Amino acid sequence: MSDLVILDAVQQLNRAIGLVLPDVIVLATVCLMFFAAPFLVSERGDAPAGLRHRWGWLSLLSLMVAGYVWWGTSPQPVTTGPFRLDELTWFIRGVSLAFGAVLVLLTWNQADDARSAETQACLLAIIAGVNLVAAANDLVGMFVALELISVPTYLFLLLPRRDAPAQEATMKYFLLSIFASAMLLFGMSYLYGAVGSTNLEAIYTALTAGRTQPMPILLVVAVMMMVAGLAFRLTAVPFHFYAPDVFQGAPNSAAAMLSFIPKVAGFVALYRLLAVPVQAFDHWSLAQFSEPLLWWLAVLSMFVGNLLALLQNDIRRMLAFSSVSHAGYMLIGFVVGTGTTGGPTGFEALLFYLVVYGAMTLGAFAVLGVLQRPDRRIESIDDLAGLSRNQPAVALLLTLFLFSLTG
Amino acid sequence: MNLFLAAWGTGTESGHWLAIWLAVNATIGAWYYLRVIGTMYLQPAPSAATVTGSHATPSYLAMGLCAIATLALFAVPGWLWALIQRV
Repeated sequence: MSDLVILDAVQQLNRAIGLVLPDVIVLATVCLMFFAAPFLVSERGDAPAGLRHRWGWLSLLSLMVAGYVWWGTSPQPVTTGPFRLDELTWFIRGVSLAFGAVLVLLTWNQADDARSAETQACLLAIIAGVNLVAAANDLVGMFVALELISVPTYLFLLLPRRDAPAQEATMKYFLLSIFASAMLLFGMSYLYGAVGSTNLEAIYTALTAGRTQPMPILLVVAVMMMVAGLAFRLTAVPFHFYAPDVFQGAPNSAAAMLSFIPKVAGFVALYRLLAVPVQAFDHWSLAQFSEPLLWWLAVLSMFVGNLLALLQNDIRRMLAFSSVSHAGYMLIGFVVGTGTTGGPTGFEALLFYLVVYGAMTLGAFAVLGVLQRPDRRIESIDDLAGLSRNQPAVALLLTLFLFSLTG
Repeated sequence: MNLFLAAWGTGTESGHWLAIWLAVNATIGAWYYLRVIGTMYLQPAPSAATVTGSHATPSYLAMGLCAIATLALFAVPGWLWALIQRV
């Protein structure tokens, strides 16, 4: 009997690992990098010249192997296990691995040789975290995956540059991030209290069957807190106020990562938590339930982001407010959801825009990375004066990205 | 454009307002992006702070990949739509 139980447990474990195999590969590389890096750096912090290139290649190799494995997988029927590999998981994994490779390139020369392993390892952990948010089939798993994004981000903000602006950016992000995590956890705990399970499939079943009808207030609190916690990751107003300071003080690659990766994780988590039919009051879903809240978040994010971006002279602050406004655009897709007649649904438009936005915004930050010099980086918009004459090709590409960002 | 169409396609008043606010904000946004483009093309480079590239190959590669992705998604978006419609 006990042999059968053990065999069953091993089979379940094998199946669960099979659903997240690309992420296991990336996380194994993270462990390898954290383990091996201290042996290659002296106690005084000296590292062999060019070591960062090896870590860069290893990171790219890891993402390529994970991408190869991802391409060989296909969506599976969703069960009540800890992970899921549905169409959304598959899609998001492909997006994050592809843009993760771009971010590895942007991070390549950002950190010096002695700290490059930890910097790239943090980035890989963040990418694995995004994938695991999409693959999580449990509230606890989703929260841990979101923290797998947040915690390495603190290091990722600080490791490449440890000057005062980077320290300030890291502290601001750290304090506000744990505040957002606490709100999310609070909301999840209320959802658990209303439903009696942390498993997403069990939650969907309970909500659809109307087992939460006697507890509508619990659901109201749960939705409000979860939206607040995730709005921080989307940089939606009024949870955006960390963005300009952090984008300004953080290294270029970290600002690029922050402009895109948390949005992917935030929208996937919102979709998993809110796009659920609920039998309460009449027949409405958590998304409809939260629609007025998200409607206002979308409108405020668009206006506040765009109007404040007009006032900026620092290009990273301008891109930060641009990121806020784009969070508003994307929230429109979420608010609209499937309520369209003909043409793409709101969710489809949101996913399409997310991918296009990733290419545009990472491209803009890549241009800033190209123009950056060891002694001075591009800060003011006026620093770009005359770029069309000095580097016409780079100016043309920045024009392409900025034109695309206009929508 | 797709987000605008999705919001307008709801046929509801709130959806129409979202689409209108989206269009208004895209117009506002165009101003500050065009300001950067104008700085690059219309202002002379200050002699003391001439921008020169670091010739960092990985950043150039990242920039090129993003440009290819942006152009590809503009010219042939059908393959991405096909993937998304399976979600």
